[in-house]
Amino acid sequence: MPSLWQRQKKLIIAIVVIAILAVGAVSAALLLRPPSQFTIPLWYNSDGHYGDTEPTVAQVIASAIEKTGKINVQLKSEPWAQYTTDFGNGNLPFFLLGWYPDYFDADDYASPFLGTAGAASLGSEYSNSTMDNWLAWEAGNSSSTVRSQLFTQIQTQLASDVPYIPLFEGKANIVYKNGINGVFLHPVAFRYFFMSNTNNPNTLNVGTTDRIKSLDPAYAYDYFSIEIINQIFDTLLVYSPTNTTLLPGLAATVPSIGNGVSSDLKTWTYTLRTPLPTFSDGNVINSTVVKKSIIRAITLNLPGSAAFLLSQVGELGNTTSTANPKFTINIDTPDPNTIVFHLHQPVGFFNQLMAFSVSAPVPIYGPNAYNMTGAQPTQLNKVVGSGPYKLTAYTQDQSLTLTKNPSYYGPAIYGTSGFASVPIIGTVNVKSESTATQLKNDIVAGAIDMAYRTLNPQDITSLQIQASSLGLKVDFGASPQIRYLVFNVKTAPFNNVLLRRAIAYAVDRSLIINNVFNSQVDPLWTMIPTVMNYSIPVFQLIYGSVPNLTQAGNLLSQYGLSIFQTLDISKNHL
Amino acid sequence: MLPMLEKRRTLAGVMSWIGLGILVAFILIAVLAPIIAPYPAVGPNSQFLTPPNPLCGACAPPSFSHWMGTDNLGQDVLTRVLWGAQTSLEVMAIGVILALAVGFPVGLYSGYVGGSIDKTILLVMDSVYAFPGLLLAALVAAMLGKGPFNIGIAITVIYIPLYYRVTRNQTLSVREETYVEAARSLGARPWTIMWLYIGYNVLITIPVIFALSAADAILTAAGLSYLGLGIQLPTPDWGLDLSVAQQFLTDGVWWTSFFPGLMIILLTVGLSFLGEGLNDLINPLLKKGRA
Amino acid sequence: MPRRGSLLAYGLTRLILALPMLLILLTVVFAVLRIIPGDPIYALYGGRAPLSVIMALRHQLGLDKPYWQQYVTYIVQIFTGNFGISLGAHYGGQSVITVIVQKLPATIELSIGSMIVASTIGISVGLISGINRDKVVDVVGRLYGTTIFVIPVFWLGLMLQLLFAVDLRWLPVNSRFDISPSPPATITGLYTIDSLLAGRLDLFVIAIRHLALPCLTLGLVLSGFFAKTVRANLLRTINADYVEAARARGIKERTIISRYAFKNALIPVITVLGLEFAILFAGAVLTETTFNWDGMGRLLIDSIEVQDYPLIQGTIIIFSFIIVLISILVDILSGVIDPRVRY
Repeated sequence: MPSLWQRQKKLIIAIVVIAILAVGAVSAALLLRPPSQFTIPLWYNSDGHYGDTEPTVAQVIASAIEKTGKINVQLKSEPWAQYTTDFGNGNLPFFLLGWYPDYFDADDYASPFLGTAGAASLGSEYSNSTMDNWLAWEAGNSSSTVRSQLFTQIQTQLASDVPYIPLFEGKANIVYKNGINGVFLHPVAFRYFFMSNTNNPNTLNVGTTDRIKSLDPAYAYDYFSIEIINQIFDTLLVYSPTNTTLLPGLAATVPSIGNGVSSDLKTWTYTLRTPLPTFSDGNVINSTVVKKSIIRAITLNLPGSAAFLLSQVGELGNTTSTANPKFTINIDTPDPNTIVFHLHQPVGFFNQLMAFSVSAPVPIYGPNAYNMTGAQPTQLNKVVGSGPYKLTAYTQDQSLTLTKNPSYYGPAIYGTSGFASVPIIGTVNVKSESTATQLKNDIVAGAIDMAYRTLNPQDITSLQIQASSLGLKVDFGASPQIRYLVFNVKTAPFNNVLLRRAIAYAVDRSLIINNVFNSQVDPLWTMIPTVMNYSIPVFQLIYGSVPNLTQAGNLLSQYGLSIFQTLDISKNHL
Repeated sequence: MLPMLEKRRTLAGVMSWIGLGILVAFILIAVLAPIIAPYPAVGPNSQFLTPPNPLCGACAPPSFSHWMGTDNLGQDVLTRVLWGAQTSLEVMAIGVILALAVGFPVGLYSGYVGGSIDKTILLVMDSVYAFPGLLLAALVAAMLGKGPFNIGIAITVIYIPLYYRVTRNQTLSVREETYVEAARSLGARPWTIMWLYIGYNVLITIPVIFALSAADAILTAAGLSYLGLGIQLPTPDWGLDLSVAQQFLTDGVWWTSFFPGLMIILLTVGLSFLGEGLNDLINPLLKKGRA
Repeated sequence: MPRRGSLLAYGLTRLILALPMLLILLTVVFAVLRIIPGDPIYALYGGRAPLSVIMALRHQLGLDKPYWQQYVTYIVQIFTGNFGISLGAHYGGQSVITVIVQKLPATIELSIGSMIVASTIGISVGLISGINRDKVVDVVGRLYGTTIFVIPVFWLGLMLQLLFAVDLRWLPVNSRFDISPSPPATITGLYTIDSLLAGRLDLFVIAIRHLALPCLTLGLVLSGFFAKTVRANLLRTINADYVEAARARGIKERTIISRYAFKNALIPVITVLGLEFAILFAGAVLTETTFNWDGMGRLLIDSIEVQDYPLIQGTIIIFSFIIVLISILVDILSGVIDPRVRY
């Protein structure tokens, strides 16, 4: 049938011709794009480590910089593994990053960024020997006057050298049903044991987008694992329910200079309570248990753990061998109630380290003794701690259940804060969701009582609007999380401080805060968040609260930019 | 019987022409996007600075000035949808044409020579074929980087085995046909036989696979963007815009996900119609021998 | 092609051929992973630890050895059944096999459920379409088959979730199970089977309710393929010679359809099943993300994010192995049912 064949042939020819035309046209359109101006890359993480909003944050920053009219910003992104490797190796010239503290002291926002070693790990490669001296001085000093002056100098230098541009500090937020009390958005340690639920006095159902990595205190270094560990394990010192004051936990008192702490800040003595505290299985915690738990954390040195916080930052050393005394761990236990830590260098914030989960004692003796050659498996009967709750159910990546520890040694620990006996709620179920949208759907549908970490900003706003009709409360609190831009100061063109300062003038924080986060975060004017001591808004003082395009333009002119200069760099190693 | 056949083929013909029409429309949109788009595709533009909608930044529902509304950065959805056609077609074109350019000749060669060479190539192709396509593309994209061109190449890898297999199977059956025997007995050289006789007939089946794998390529690219492993912001891309928009869906913001999703569905349906229609037209012909 | 008669030989041949195939795959994945910039140890710390700590750890784990050495070690380990220890932030320290065994049942349950939905809807639509050829019903059926396949599965999932779970509250929003009571004790890992084995009908109902939306989503998208294939096979069968002969003998059309056409139309569908499973696994990744389903798809995406080499390699091998196994089983099955199909 010739007519049918002809028709078919026409169709095929038509398709082939169109396909060729299409490819040609599209390629032409792309290849013939006009040449760009001076172009700088801005890197961000593409797979959600900092949330779904990250690409939008990057876009907003890019457009603010482009408002100078002299710079073109090219956005680039990578998944987390490549991102961390690249900035760790100094390959990213200009990128977005975040920070959450390990210990609650301003030093944790200064040394990791401005010290030579820390700056190398974070990809800025900033190195200033004067700064290094100031940092060592403030870390080993306990006088607030001295430290205050040092931090002023440090922050002023930061604003002048601009290796980083602080952008905003997060606010913690939580959504929960009416009738739940005792919900405190503590800057460091979020705890369930102060909560009470009038809707259901015995049970609390919580949803989160986080997942457990490990419940071994020597291993966990992520927020959620540590959050759950804090319910199950007590440390020598604990935080007050509502603020960052340290309270005695397993220890009987909080040591201070002249009262357990030597004046050179190198010897720290802790006395355990009498009678001695116990684990949930009844085994006693004495000074040997504490000592061996800390040595275990340090010597196991599990991949990705916070062991280095004890060995390096805490200056405890990293080995039990006495071959090289500079690295030997030196902890004394003169009697079952007393532990003495001998540090290699003075450390002013050692108490804060003893409140961090990595130093939580774990069973050393008895049938539940923890694995001394590797991480303790995160399984139901292998998690034994000294805290107010016990782990009574666990399905990895899905849910876990905490139940009141009937033999808790210290229900009255928080008596001075108004909590006669903790924990209050008997059972807490925590469910892991895959996305923020799922979390939101669950709290709207009433399937969970509480949603903590991490809802999308617009979902939070929407919940705020519907709060009364849904019977929910939306709370905000201080969070020590900070977000900032990093320059690799050894890489052109960012090795010129004029360019860095120009960008500091151009950055528009209000766009990010209002339009990306619905005002649910606060502007940040220094690397030390406002919730910490010694924070001075240096960037606001020097660069102003709003973008100053005139000044930015002046600096760029000084830097020698004309509008049609083209410079394209992506990664340093190419 | 015959009138039924005619009617059936006309229906298939109608499907093909509709599908082709949709494809042409999209190509035109892609080429003309820079001209017909009313706003810049990448913002945030001045609207971003007006009091934002707390539920979704600077978004606004469809209106007279913005026919498809604006997204959370104040970017015009219609503009991004139009420019997105460029990105999608680029990915699809590169992905599928490269796969064809590699899979077709290799399949032809493999099917014709047979023997251990054929078995070896088949083994390698089957290995790649057994791999979940989305994930293979994700790994290759991670290796190459994330521009539309590289994503297109990453997607290519998935479809090479498909073209190879189809071509090889067709070659295997066609090479036994009598006219090939006839040509061989007349002393025609092997390459001539292969390309002229077998190649031409096998080529007939390619447009079908082309259309269907093109539809699949668009979906794979959208899936990659949805998982954060594909095209990156701020490049306008339907899958990417869909992934950003899904955060706002539960707050009643439907237009930022509806329109990009609609475009994906329209284009893939069009390609699907084209492939289906061609399949109905071509296959009966092949089975009943030369018309 | 010359026919090989014995089914056993056929099955064994395919199985033996599968091994080098998997080896090639493993090598490709190993190579690609090492070429991709990025390192799992950096990802573990995210800049929070000094570089000296990171370097020391890499050395401890043997990641600074030359690639060929790592490759050889890895291959040898695989042959002894040791798939390695996860390096990543999520499952660090756990054996890869343990993690996969935990996650696999979820994906199996999702796959089987989706297959049931897909085949039920697809076969019905295909049959009805084929019987009423060229009528309106057929056109609708053909359109369905062509269109449903190309709807992005994550978009469809979200729409269904909004309608049935958030608005109507008929079904749960996501996840495999309710917060309480606890899921049934693990025997197979599939909540539906385990709850029946434990004699707990209430747990079974919970599991089914949670399976409904994800299986519906994935099943709908896959049903299109079934519909098209069944319709095409049915038409071919209806017009086949032996059916013509039966018609010529005067047997009623209805009897012809029910006795011959249906059965023979359905047989080739089995060969399609193997292909469908490959597509299903790809769709499972997106469905698992949308519905908070704790299975292999999500596991793979998470491991790619942190570049957890052993876990990515292990997951891909298991994935591919299952697909190969299924296609072999399907081939054997169709070989049993219809001897003409044998290789």
